[in-house]
Parts: sequence; C-alpha cells; structure tokens
Amino acid sequence: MEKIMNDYLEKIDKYLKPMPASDRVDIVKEIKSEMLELEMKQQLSPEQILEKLGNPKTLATAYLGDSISKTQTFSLRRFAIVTAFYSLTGISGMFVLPFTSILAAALMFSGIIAPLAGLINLIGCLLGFEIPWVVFQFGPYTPGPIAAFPLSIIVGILLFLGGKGCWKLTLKYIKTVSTLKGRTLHQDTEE
Amino acid sequence: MNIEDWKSQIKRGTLEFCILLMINKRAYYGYEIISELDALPILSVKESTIYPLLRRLLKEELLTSFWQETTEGLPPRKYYSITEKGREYLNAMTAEWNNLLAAISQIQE
Repeated sequence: MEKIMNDYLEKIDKYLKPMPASDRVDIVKEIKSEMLELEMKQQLSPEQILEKLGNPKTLATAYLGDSISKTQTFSLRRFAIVTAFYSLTGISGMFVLPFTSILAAALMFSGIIAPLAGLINLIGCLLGFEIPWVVFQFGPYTPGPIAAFPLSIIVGILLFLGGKGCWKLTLKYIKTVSTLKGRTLHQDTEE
Repeated sequence: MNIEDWKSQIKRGTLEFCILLMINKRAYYGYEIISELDALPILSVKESTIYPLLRRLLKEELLTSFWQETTEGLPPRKYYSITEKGREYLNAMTAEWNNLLAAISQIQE
C-alpha cells in the first residue's frame, strides 16, 4: 500500500484518539478495506482515493461527533455526581471532622485530668499542703478539697463519656462518608 | 431559497431509512452502500456520512456487523446485516413513510 494512504490512516487513528482502541482499530480497518478495494477493483490512483475519502480530520470528526456528544453527557453527569459528592462531604468534613475529633480528644483528656487533679488536691489537703494551682469551681460554688475529689471523679467520668461519644460520632461520620463514597463510585463505574 | 439545502435536508432525513431498506434485503458492506447510493444522485453520500451512521445503527442494535474474507484477493470486508429490532424499526418507518406520501398527495390534489 502506498505511503500516502498509510499516512492518511495514521492521521485518522490520531484524530480518533478519544475513542477506545478497539473501536479505532475497527474503523481504520474498514477505511483501509475500502481504500484497497478502490485501488484494486476500481483502479483508482492513491491521489484519487484520498480525494474521494476527503480530509482525514473531517472523516475522523464525523465518527467522533456521535460518540463525543454521548460521552460528554455521560462524563458531565459523572462530573456532576463526583463534584456533588466531594463538595458535600468535603464541606461537611471540613467542619464536622475537626470539631468532633478534637472535641473527643479534649473531652477524654479532661475526663482523665479532672479526677487526677481532684486526687492531687485531696492528697495535698490530707498532707496539709495548699495547692494553689488546683482549684475546683462549679459556677459560683467552690467546694473544699475533700468534697471536690468525688465531684472531680463524677465530672471526669462525664467528660470522658462525652469525649467517647464524640469519638464514636467521628467514626460513624467517617464510615457513612466512606460508604457514601463507595456507593457513588460504584454507581459511577457501573454506567 | 436554495433547492440544494432542501435536497440535503431530505437526504439527511431519509438516509437511515434507505440504508435499512437496502440492508433488509441482504448483508451489505460499507463501500457497497456508498457506490449503490452514488448511482442515485439525490441519495449520494460521502464516507464521512455513511460510516458514522452505520456505526450509530450498530450501537442502537438495529444492525449487526461481521468481517468476511473475499475470494478475489481483496482485504476482508465489514458486512452489515439487519437485526430483529432493526426490522421492527424499519416496519414502523415504512408505515410512517407511507403516511407521509399519502398526506402529501392529499395536499397536492
């Protein structure tokens, strides 16, 4: 086969790049089949054949016309799905995740610190020290060191439970997001 | 007012019908369709029209295709044949076509 005909087919293949390789091979094979038929049966010269087939870009674009409009709506849809998904989880994640996870850590930490402080205060009081940097204050009420210890344990437990709740909320949120993500992506690949 | 514009509109609107009518008779390969339509000037088409159209008809499952070797030492050809769905569609098209012809001749009277 003449070089100019091969070049023509290569151009077609190049312009068809957006299509799957298997489609491209099939299209080029079909055009090549017609070229050879025109050459051998109709005795046309390579120049006449190329003239009949027209501009390779026009021919390739004609193939793309249909499939691009189809894939574009598809990819736009996909783009919309993905964007909607990421903007939703992204924005909520931006607020929800730091809030719940930091709160969880802070509350659990405080939950442990509070009874410890109460214990230090109690021991200090029993040994006759006044520890100025440990002060319990519940609103306007300031209990003495002995009353403060059981109170600090109760507060500590409440804080710890609150922290644990926040942590569970964080885990639940992450789990929901990842199943949502999985579902979106699954739906996405199915189409 | 350009009669060529109108002719190309008619061609665009009926080409699918013509191709299905041809392939309904027997399996055709692309170039064969092109050269047969070329003999009927009002329906003559370029490769850039016929091949993408055949591809779309394949996608819509109105046609199926198969590659077949030739006996004349030519490269294999891609043949198109009609499917059951294509035949049903063609029947519906034929009915509408007859409707159109009847309507036009009624107007012409």
